[in-house]
Amino acid sequence: MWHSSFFYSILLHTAIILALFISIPSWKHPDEKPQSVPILIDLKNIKIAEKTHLPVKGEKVESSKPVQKTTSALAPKKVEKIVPVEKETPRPESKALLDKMPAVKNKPKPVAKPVVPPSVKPQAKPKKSDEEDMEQLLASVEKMGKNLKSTSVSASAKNKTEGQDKGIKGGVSSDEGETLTISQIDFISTTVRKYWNRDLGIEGAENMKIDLRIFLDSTGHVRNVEFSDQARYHSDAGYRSMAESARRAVYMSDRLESPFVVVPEKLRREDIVFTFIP
Amino acid sequence: MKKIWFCVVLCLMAFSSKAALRIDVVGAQSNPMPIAVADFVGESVSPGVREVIVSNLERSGLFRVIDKDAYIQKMEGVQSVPNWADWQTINAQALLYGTVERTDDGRYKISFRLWDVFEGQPLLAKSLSLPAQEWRRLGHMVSDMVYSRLTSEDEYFDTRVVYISESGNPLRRQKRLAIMDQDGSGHHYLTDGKVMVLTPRFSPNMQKIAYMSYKGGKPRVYLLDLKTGKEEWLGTFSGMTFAPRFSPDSSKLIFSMAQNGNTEIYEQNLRTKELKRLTNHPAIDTTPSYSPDGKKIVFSSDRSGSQQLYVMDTDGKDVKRISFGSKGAYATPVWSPRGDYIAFTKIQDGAFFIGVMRPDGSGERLLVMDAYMVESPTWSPNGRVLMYSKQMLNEEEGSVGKSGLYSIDVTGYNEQHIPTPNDATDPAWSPLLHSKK
Repeated sequence: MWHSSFFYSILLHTAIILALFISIPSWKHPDEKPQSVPILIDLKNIKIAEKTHLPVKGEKVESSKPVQKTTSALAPKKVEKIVPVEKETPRPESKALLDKMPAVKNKPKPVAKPVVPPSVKPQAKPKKSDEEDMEQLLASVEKMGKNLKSTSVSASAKNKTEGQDKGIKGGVSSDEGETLTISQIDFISTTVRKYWNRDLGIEGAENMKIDLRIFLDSTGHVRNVEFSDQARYHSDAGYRSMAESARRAVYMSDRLESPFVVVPEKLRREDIVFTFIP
Repeated sequence: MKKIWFCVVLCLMAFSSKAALRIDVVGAQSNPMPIAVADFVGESVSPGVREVIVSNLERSGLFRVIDKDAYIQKMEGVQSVPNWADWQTINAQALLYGTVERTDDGRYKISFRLWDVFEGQPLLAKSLSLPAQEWRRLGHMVSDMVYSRLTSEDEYFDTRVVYISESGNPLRRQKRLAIMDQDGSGHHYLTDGKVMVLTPRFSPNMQKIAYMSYKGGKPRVYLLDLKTGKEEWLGTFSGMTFAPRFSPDSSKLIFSMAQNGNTEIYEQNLRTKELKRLTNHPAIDTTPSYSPDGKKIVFSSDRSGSQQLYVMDTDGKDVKRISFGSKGAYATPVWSPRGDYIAFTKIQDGAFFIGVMRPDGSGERLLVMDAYMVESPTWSPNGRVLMYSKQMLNEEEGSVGKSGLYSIDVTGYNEQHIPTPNDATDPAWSPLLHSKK
């Protein structure tokens, strides 16, 4: 009895360790590679190609899957190795891009040098950059594919990414939705400021500071605004005018530009304190 | 056990009071607030009431009334419910609409609502009524309430202005006392023009107007009762009296009197007729004006060699000079009803300016400076707007052009012309006609 239990335990633990080695998440999407191919074609765009030159943050290479192999082949270092090969041995334009990839691993042959006609060289350069771009695209597409694995991507997180890392790949990799970046804070501040319209003639306005406490709902829109200094709001007419203009700015910016949707979900449950300084 | 609970509560309080994020918004715009004023439904005067409101709000410089052709929703009276999206689309920050009705006793009754469009909250809901012939005042009163609610300033639209209407040959000008609403409507004359009159001033209780008249060939201060129309001579004085102004409680009148070549400031109790001399100096002391609390008087004097501004107690003691313009001369000081500024006319290098300074002489700012001549500033009852007379130079003919009344915000922005039938000078702004709240 005791022996059999021990045997089952060993078996179970071994299975778990094996599963960890092989990477369980990849089992869920065995057909990941075919999915990524059409996306690669759609992204054949100059601007996107420029962005993909940026290094991908925190990308890990796993050798067990064919797709991951491709990624390792497309790693920036290896691309650098390709450069002399491409210069010396221009490839026919009609060759498929994916066919070229195995050739990347081949060592450059010095024999090829004299074979290259001088007129072909100019053609080879753009071709090389195209190839690099495509390889970078493949890397980025694979990265996208990885992201697709995660099924818990919320709408708000998508919005945040859109507003945050304008084309800079890896820009959000360190932001797990826990806090706002300086750019996001600046974005919110600038947007609200656009709608803050105050009366210049309020006496002592230049020395006033208005603190508003803002509460958001789960969609990132303003649910409520409270004046921090209620006593002064009720006793000082000038302060009230300023405070109401600030509150209007918050509501207007929310209705017209929705700047608060960049606030991560976790922070939406807490209040935000705005200080309006004329 | 109690200690544990105490700690738990403390932790919860600390957690709940934590502000997740602080964001600073530095620097605001200062543009007129876009506001929608929907049609007032009901009586035939309803469009007129709306026009009065729109005109007042726009003339204040603090509001921009959105063209009503842009309105998506049509409001059907005071009971209508706004569709916020329709008003937010046209970027209206506030919405005003209402109904005008005729009551059984022949009065007009106006009911209106003011909303914050983006917050969807009511800001104001009121009903007012006035005799039918005063329907324009209904528009002024609604304007006042809207203005005051949205800016937190005191009201000033339901007011009148008394001024000197000038007409005829430049060498033989006819100068009449005239009165009108602050927007130039409801104009009529108080004197017939046979005798020259100058420097009219309202009493704070709105019962009398003091002014200087050349009746009988001798310039003297007179009082005109606004209810009865009766003109009253201030008193028998040996010298010429001029530049009158009422005390804040309307019980006293302060003025200048020239005797034996010397001009001094005097104060007369209007009930007891007791006369009190406040200054005693060989220089010319004139154009006195009370502070709103009635404890100080600002006046102009050339005792330093040029005309400058001085402040003294109401008993004539503790005289302090407050203007120190190296070249310019200062005249016609008027203390703001808010007490924060003194407005004045400044003459420097042959040019005239209207300016303001703090009662201690600090913070001098020139507000108006682009005319041949500007003078005689007067404050709106809320101390926010200045009215003055302005004369332009007729450049084609090289002669002096027409003079008219203008107003400007104390910030120095938003100069507005006040229409008058003839040339106009020497305005004096009345207190608010209706009681607040």
